[in-house]
Amino acid sequence: MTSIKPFQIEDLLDVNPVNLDPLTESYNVQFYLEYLIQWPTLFFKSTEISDFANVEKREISGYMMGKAEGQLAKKEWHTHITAVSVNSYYRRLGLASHLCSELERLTKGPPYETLFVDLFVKVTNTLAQQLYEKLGYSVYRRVVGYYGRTLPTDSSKIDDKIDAFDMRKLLPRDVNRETVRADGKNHNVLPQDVTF
Amino acid sequence: MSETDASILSAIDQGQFSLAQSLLSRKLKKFPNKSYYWAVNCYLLVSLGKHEEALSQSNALKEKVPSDPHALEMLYKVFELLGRPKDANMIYENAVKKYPSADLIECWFQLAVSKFDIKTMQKAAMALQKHKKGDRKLAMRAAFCCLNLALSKVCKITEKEATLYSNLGEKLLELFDFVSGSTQEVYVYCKLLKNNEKYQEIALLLSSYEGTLDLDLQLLYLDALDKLEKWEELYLLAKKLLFEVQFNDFDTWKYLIRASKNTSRDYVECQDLISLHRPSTRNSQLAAIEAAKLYEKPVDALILNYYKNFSSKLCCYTDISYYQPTPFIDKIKETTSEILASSKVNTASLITLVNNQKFIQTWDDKLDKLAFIAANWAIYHKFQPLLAEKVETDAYSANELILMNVVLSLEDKSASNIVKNIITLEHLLDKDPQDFKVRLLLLHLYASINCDSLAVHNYNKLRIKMFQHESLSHLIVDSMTPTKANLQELINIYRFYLSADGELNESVSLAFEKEVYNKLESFTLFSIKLKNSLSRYVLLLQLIKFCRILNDHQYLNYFSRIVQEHELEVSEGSLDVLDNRDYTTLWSFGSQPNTSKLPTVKRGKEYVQLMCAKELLILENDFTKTTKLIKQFNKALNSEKIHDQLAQHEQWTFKLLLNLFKLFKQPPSKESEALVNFLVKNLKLEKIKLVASGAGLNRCLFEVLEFIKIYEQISRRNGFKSEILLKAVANVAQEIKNSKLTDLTLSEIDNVSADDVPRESATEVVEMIKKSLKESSYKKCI
Repeated sequence: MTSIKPFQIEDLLDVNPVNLDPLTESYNVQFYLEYLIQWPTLFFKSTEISDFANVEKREISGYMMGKAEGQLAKKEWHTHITAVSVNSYYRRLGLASHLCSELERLTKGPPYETLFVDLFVKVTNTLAQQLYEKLGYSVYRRVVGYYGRTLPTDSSKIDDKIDAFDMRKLLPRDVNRETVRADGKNHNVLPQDVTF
Repeated sequence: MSETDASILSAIDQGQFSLAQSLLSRKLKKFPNKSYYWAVNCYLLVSLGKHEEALSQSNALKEKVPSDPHALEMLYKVFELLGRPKDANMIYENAVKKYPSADLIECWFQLAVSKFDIKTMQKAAMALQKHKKGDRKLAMRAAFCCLNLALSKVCKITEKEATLYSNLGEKLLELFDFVSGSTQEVYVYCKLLKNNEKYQEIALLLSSYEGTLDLDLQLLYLDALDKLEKWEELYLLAKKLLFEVQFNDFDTWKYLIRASKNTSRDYVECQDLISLHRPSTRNSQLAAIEAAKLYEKPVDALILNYYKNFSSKLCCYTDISYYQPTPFIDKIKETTSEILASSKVNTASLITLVNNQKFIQTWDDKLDKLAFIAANWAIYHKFQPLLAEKVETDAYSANELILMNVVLSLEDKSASNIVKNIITLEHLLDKDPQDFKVRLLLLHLYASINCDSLAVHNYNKLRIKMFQHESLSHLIVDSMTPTKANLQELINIYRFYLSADGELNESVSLAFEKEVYNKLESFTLFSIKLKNSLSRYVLLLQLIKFCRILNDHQYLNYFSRIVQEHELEVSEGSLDVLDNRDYTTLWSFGSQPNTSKLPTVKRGKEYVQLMCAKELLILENDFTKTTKLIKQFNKALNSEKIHDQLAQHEQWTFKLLLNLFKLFKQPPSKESEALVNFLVKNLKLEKIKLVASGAGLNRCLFEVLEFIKIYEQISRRNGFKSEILLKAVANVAQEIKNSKLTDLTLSEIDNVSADDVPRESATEVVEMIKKSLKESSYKKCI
């Protein structure tokens, strides 16, 4: 019984079942505050109702942290999925997909009207890539050393352990399909090339 | 601020008082009419501990009603340090009344923001909007501040006052047109209307709003229609959101079902509509059950249908438990037998079995515990091939069955049984290192038997960091023993609070500037929760204890000063403490609630009050203040709630402390002899053995070690001398040094093993535990 609610900073005190998962990163408070201030509508959570021993409670089962950035003139105005996380009890139910679709719905129309949605995923995380492909995402480019500790300088030195795929999904505003491509896996870039 | 001005402040903050005094004297001579330097002089006096002089000079300056923002800020700080927040605010109120400039009021507002002071924010925002009447942004801000105060759970305002503030906020905005306003403006207005129960106005505004409703507004709209019982409108809106917009939200399903029933649509029509939802989801299937419940129709068949479709999902047990159906235990047992009889091993079957075991534990009145435990292990082993196949980051669901076994086994709380369960959990983690639920329980068990280094190791392995410390640090902080490594761990945790304070300060201010009102209420509340956090206080007090035992005087002074800032609240017993600890996640597995938990002491507000009074008593030598503090210490120690917040041995050590404080922090009296006798009688190893045993013994010895340090510190500063007490303290210190008390615990766990875990793995874990116990022994601090 999933309901969607706006994320509030106090929710950080209740996200342990989600953030203790080794796949989910926890950041400093400033990071969350920045998203809540800059893109308040693009940060939301899913909640579940449970009842044990007649005590009804709502718990956070997942959340979506998104933003909109880039220049329209450069065809870079887009929605970015910064984090989408789901509590392990509520996986394989399509919840992550639902959170992604909700973000897409919120940004494809006014006031955002972005050209595409994108996200970064580890090259080795094939499970997540499959999920995003099902949702209509495709690889746009490979970001060499995205998850590495140092900034790489050579985009030809690929390393599956620290490289990411930048995956994109077209939104209706890009009528000419200029922001996606079919051979994305053959395009390597450096992390410094993907800042907006 | 000039360079010299900055050097004066820096000299004061660094304790270079002579330098500060000489620099300041020159300034006061050159600018005798500049209120700022007189305010700095007050600050110098406070820092020198000359509180009475500082207060009298600050009051004199306050009477002159200064208007220089720097002077006001400094004077505000002085009054705060003197524990007079009302006076601190009054200097701004007076200045604003006498010199009502927008800049000055804005300074006042920003100061309130930086202090997360919701009441003053409202006052300053009101003053500013009054000063610039008609300014939409300022009116909006003032209205939000009224709303924030009315909704505040921490400001202790009456219901009547809350209504007044809501009405005032609404009145500030009544002349504005919101149909084309921003979503943030509409949010503030609608929330005020909601507080004033004006749902009609909300519905009217949101139905005609020209922009797109964001999630906050959409939820407000649905709620307003529901409250107004506008069932047809609610039905159409909910239907549109669910079927056209694809907003698959269970609360919206509930609105749809409620509206359906109240518009006299019959049950069949409602179920038909639900079944039309594409794709059929967990929410829509649960909506069918919800509809049956609301229409008062049988739910069991629908629940069985849900079970059929979702038994292989981990949410199945939780979802079905919510509806409390007639137990279908035969069906459960039948499914379990079928799966176990089959040679197929896949994740779906395993999850079904995990769910089934939870149902069996909940519903089977005659559950054979041993058979249940054995069945859980059998499932764990049968599906073990999945461990090799699964993606590293995916949890092995059968671990949960073993967690249920551990909880059942914890009815026996002996050290050897805890070690046995630790061996089991280590075995699970060896096969599946990413399962955080296993690791969380493991760390809890380690902490309960004094294996600090292993508890901390697992805390760090869980990558608990930043804001997670606030809700989870209690898992280790309280049971840690004072070693240098642990002190460093605690300091690292404390750093989170220091950086969060700064980050929140900046962000609250920025959110006001950017008018992000639908997040600001939570921003301020979160800031207050962290500022007055119970975990933060417990951490601080533990840090002080560690520094004292480990003779780290620099950190001891630093952390003690923080407690001193709360002197007034502690003396008056009015310290605000908010509890944000998470006690749920640790036990969120199996067929909750898990009841066989280990008996742990849960610190609370009274503990913080008691510990702060203790620290202040150690530092304070003024008998007027110590008498007041001893009264608070005694009151906290005798409060009903404190008993669950202290271990048995702590109740004893706090009594020792009370006697010590009465002896050294009050003028000598007839009582002195009796106090000395009590201490001499208790400061014996034999007595320690009576008040503590098991894991508590090691902790008790640390308490006694700290007591000795406190005795050494405060007996030096006071004229009272007692040779027998001095001798008793020296004797007990020697006795502790020579004793082998905790060796007993080590022998208790020799040869412990666990069924289903290879012998060599068990021996390895036992050796690891023994090493950790030795590392956290009191002997390390002697």
